[in-house]
Amino acid sequence: MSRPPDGDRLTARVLTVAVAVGAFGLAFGSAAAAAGMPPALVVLSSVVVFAGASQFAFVAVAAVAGPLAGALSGLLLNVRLIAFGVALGPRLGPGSLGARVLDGYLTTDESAAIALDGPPEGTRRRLRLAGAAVGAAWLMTTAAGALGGAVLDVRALGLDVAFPATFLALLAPALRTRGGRATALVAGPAAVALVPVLPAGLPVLVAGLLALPLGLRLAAGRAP
Amino acid sequence: MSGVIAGPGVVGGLLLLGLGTLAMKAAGPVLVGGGRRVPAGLLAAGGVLPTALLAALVATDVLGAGGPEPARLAGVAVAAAAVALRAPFVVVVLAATATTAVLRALGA
Repeated sequence: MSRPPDGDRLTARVLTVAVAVGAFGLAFGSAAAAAGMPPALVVLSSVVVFAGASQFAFVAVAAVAGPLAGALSGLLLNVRLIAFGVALGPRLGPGSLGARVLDGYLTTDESAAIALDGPPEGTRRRLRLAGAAVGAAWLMTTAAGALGGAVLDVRALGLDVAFPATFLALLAPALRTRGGRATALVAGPAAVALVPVLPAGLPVLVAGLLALPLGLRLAAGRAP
Repeated sequence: MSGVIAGPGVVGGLLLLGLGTLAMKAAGPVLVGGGRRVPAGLLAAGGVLPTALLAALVATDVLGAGGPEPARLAGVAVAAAAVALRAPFVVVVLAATATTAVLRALGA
């Protein structure tokens, strides 16, 4: 039973991410149920949307401003996934339209981060493995959270902090570069400043676009 | 938080969000690559945008609507320290949630 070390590392990463996503899944399922979403719709959300932060945003906004506003907020939040797809596309190699749509469906912040880290020829395999593990964990735990929502106290368990903690961990490689730090230092404060003046969902996107020119200039400056 | 989020409008909203999300997720794999040439500007934006968006997500999550809560700030600070020490992903998440949970239990 001698597997290459790279395979062991991939398995460990995928399992770790699946556990972390499972914690979010419990948090999302119980929060959605507490906000008045029936378990069947929580499960529908996890199957058709499969993008955790936007599912949270949908519930939060739909509760006060209706489902159309909820869907638009979620879509704004997911615009960033286009960027992950653009980064993944050239590394995926040939594949049928169906295979490429499946690659897209399995793309999350977490599966994309795992897929993009390693030799290009293994990108699709890493994306499929991580995406399937994250999807299975997400579906099961959101359902469990929705059904057991009354007994799981998300705030008391500190599970709400799992979100910024995960995003920080995903940011770490970028924060070790000068351009990445500068981009983050513009986007973060800009987003906070925009929260009082823009509808939910927009501050993150607008701040991201505001920081883009600086990030591109610094990234280009690094190359000769 | 006692409203009901259900009914045909909510199902329609979820389908709209789901189809739009799939279109955005699949745009890169379907339209970019597979031997096609990718514009350099698009590739560069694909490298920078995730950093900016994740930083904005962290900042609004911690300091956005409602203002900062000490237990939550402490949890995120512990996560940042764990990330700086290159702790594994699951350790970062567990250390942050445990910190916030303990501080909330103590009434911070």
